[in-house]
Amino acid sequence: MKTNARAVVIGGGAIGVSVAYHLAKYGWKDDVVLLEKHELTSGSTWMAAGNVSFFHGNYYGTQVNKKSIEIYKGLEKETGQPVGWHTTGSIRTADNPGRMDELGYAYSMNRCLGLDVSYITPDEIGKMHPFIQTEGLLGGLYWPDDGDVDPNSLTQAMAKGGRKLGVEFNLHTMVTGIYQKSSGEWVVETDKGDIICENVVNAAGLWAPEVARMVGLEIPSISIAHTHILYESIQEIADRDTYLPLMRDPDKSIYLRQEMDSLILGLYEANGQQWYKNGVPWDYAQEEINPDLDNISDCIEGGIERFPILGETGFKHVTAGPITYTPNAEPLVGPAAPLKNFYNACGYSFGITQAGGIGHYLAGWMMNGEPEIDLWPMDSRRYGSYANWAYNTEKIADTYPRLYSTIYPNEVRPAARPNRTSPIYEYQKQANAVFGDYYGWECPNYFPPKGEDEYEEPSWRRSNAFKHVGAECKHVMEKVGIIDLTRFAKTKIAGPGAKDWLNKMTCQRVPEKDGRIALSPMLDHSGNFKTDMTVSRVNENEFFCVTASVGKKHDQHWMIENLPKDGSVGMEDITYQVGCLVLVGPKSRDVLAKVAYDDVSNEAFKFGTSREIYVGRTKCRVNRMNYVGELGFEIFHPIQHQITLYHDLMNAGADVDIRLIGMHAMDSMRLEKGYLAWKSEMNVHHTPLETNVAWTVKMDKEFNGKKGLEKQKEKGIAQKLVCMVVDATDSDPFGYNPIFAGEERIGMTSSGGYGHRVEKSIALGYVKPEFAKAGTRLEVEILGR
Amino acid sequence: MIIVTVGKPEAAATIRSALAMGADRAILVKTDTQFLDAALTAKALKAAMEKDGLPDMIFTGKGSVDTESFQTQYRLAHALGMPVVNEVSSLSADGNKAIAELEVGGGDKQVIEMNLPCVIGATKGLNEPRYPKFPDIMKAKKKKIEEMTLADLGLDASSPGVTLEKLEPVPERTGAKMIQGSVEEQVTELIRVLKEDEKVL
Repeated sequence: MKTNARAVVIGGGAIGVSVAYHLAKYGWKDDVVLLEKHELTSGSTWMAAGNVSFFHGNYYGTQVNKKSIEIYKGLEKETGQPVGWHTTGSIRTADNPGRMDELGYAYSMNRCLGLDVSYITPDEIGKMHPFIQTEGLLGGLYWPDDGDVDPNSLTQAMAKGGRKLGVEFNLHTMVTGIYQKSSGEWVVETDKGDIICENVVNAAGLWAPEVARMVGLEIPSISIAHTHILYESIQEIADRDTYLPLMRDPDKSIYLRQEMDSLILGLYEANGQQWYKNGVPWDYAQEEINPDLDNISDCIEGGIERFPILGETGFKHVTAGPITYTPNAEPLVGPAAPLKNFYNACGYSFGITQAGGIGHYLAGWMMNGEPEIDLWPMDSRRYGSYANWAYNTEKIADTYPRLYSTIYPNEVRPAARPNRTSPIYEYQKQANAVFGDYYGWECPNYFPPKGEDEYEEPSWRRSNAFKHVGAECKHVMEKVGIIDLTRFAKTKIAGPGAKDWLNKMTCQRVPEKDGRIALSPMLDHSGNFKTDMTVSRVNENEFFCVTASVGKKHDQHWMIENLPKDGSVGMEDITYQVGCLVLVGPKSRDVLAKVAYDDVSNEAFKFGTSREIYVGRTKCRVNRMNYVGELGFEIFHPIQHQITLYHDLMNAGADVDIRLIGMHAMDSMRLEKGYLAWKSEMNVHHTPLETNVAWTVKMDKEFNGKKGLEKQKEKGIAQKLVCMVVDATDSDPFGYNPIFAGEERIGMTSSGGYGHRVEKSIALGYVKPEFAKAGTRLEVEILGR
Repeated sequence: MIIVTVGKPEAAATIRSALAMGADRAILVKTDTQFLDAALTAKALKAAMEKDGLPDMIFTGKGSVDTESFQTQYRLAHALGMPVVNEVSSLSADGNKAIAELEVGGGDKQVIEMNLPCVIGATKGLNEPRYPKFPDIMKAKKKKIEEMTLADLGLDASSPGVTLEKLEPVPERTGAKMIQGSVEEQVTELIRVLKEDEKVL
């Protein structure tokens, strides 16, 4: 066994083998080592059904699926090992209008990617699948290029390809410990000796949490026994010349596909059995779990209703095996914060669908420092410390049975909540808040009157929250409100090197004077958005930086990775010490003046400045700026003073009808103003030059990503951010809607919604620059229409 | 069709599979151990059947796959005074007679006619086991399994005639012999090995 390597991949399932294969393929060749404690595929891969389809709940996941299909089709030619690929096509059915809307969303999103997808009627479905009973179906979507693959052959093919390129596969080699040397190199200890390496990939599947624990991390991944049933041979299938399409009837929580001359039925039952939820034994390998038919009988009966032949055909084999699940069933991929050169590729419950694609993208990410596409939906940093084991075990009990449930953009599930709450949480509840869940924080979405719309109906259309959100927007426009943004990520950057370092990290010029604020995008090396901070200068050597709550781990990881080694810059996470209440609306200054000990007049406290003032007895840092585009103040305060501060503000504003305002209103108002949102407008596919914050780019200084921007300036931008007013009736754009000029697809929306102040449906999106002119008429496709 | 099993309580799962494949009901004589002396097994089966009412035909396997003692069917038939034929691969009935076929090696087939009631030891080919369908599996859950113990049948497992001392895997055989060389050399060497070393030709 090698003692040194560029990368060590832990885990020999489809995912680990794919990562190792792609790392070797893209240039690390024989500098890649894979460690597997048993045989390849012996964790979960062996029991996978092998379905490979384009459908995924989000745009970037769809791209990973697409990449997988491309890779699988070429593997045999490259490695000589057949992977058992069949192009069968696939159909996803709908038996209710909400599901049709979801299919509409998928249709529009797939069209943004140029995928071959079409609507089909129940009659057409019946013709394509002779065993289906179409009664009750409203329609479906058909992807002709989907198919299936043999998971074992696929893994062996990638292993063969990897071996040819020099990857060292060490089977029956157990990782016993991992630590990082002061030089930054990793040491992976095994029962066959140690390996010193630059990069480690945790692709340990069922055991990923145990491997993570070796480096002090807790990752939310628990295995559940997934069951699929192989039926005995069916003569009508044996007699066919063509493959039956893969069928997914999400309303019955089942999939059905052809296997040789028979069928496989897979299901997601109501009560998923968590298997060794405290940790899978190390010596488990490739054993079937005793299937619990009682637990899955509802789904089987649903299957028989939709495909009556299943009631007349014997069970040849019932396979139950463990598969990993995360709180939202998306995998955990990418750099593991706060570590350097340690990557996750685990938490997969659809590993075969994505193994090829994620191997490709993660290898690129490790080698180039950035992923080729924005992989935020699967980035393991989307979960903060709240997503611990207990959270996960509660949350996936809700998620697993709902894997095939209709996805709604506005749905907030009650499971495993609350986690993080602001000190004023009880007051928000008293004010009838309907809460959202943001990075584990309970944050009010809107405040309906008592007894009215206290649950937001999940919908792709305007929901029952609509009029209440409208009332809040109006209130902010005319009076004054308080928005709780305690969840903001707050970081103190201090030290003699702070200013220069920040100037390198952002394309913006860091404030030159105390009390000045700068909107400061941080870019990757090609000039694309990494994140976006609000930087307030406290003094020459200290800066107060605020970033989006959901990106906290991502953003702070980026900063930690880039901190100078000489100790000249200190970084302190003060998120949980500092709360934030935003006082906003035309009356906000009057309210603040009433309670503050300091002069907060326009002359004394100008827009875009930051001051330390006493609001009542609470010493606060107040930034005169906000995210809704009205007069307002972001009041940062010691979190233990929050209730006092809250009462002081509410009392001071009582005579001008001060009230609490929720996130939905804030989002509506930010859209109207064209303010950018992280991972919507600001992601790794766009630079500031394409947006309305191009003014933050200061080319007369050095910064990360400058070369990329210079190149882009030279070539000219290929897309430009526009704000569009959309002629919509009952459903607004939400992002990933294709934009057309006549027949030509010229762009995609990044976010959308209803602007209550302007009373219009609004979308932000990127289009070809020639169409980015005021007054241009374009078409935005919403829910497939 | 009645399933009669002597075994640990876990055997109920296997009985359910048989019920799903079409049997009507079952009797489980519970024991504490998986490996029971064949003589006692036969006694238990006999007692359970007599209690329930003797059938016209008793099917057993040709031998258990764990201990491979190949005795139960003979002991049972003897105790009941019934004719017994083992390794039956085809069976038909004619009035009060059963006609059983069994392969006796070298491609020869023996046909045996016997009076009912009788004991048939089944081997591969007697029937194609059908895979249970889901509705049958669900129906099987409602079918009755009558449970009893050896003591209920007046039997005592404390001093068996035969006990299983040890069960261990046979050491793996050493690897295959690879014959090298041209096709002609390989064929010559293969014939030599078969004739001289293995003495099979």
